[in-house]
Amino acid sequence: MNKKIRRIIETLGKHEDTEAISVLEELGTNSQDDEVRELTSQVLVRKNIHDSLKVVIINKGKGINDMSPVVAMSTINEILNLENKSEAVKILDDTINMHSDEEVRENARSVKSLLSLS
Amino acid sequence: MCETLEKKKGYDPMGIRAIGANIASKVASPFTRKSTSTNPFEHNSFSGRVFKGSALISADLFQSNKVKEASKLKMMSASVVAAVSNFGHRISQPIINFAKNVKAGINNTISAIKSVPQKVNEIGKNVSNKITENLEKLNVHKEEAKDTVKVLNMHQINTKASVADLKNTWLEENKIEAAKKVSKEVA
Repeated sequence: MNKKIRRIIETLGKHEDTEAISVLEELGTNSQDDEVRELTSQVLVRKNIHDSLKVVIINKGKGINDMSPVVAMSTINEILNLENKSEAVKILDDTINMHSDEEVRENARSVKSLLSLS
Repeated sequence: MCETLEKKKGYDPMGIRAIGANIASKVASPFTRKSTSTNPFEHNSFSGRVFKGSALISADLFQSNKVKEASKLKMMSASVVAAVSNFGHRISQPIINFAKNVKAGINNTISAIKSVPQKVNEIGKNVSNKITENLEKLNVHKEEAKDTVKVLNMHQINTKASVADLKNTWLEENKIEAAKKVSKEVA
């Protein structure tokens, strides 16, 4: 991955403007490069706010639901490393209970199990 | 020989009678009045005579040397006086012209000083107009900068940069990466 792109992703993860999350979702999680998607998911999890966690938990093909196991496992590991997991657990519960896609619900259930074990 | 000479000169060998008759016929009587003209030079003919001398020299012939020297001294003194007066005239004219120029210059400066406040006002107006024009241009540039999105370099990528600039930079980098991949595939 390009150093400049890495720096842009990290800067957007620290940016106070909430518009940065939509940019990360648009350009980062939809990137063809696995490294870019992995780093973008990690950054979104570290923000630890509802809008950023929602992107990597409830969207099919992004974050914990990514087709690449490396990207999915890296996102799950980042969620497990959060100090305050309350917002992540809340979104996981809503996904398990209300999401229309069975695969997404199954992934959310697995992550919640890991959180309960950690 | 004698005969030929006598014929050429018109000598009449007849005697003194003939000579006396001829003289009487040739010499006019002074008491006879030939004309009534009042011209005194009527009978003095200068035809054929050319004057080659100097009338002044002959006129000064009877003057003494002292008089000549005195007249020369008078002439010299008169020439000196004339030269001095001419010299004074030559000097005085430039001085007068110089004085006229100085006067004209002073008048010009006075008129310029009188018109200085107006010029200062004009300069001030011009300066203020230029400043306002520049400020307007700066405002326009700022508005244009707001509208246009920049491509940031490595040092400009930080949390102070706008999200739009970061996004634009990211898109540009993606284009560069795609071009590199295409070039690698072609190679």
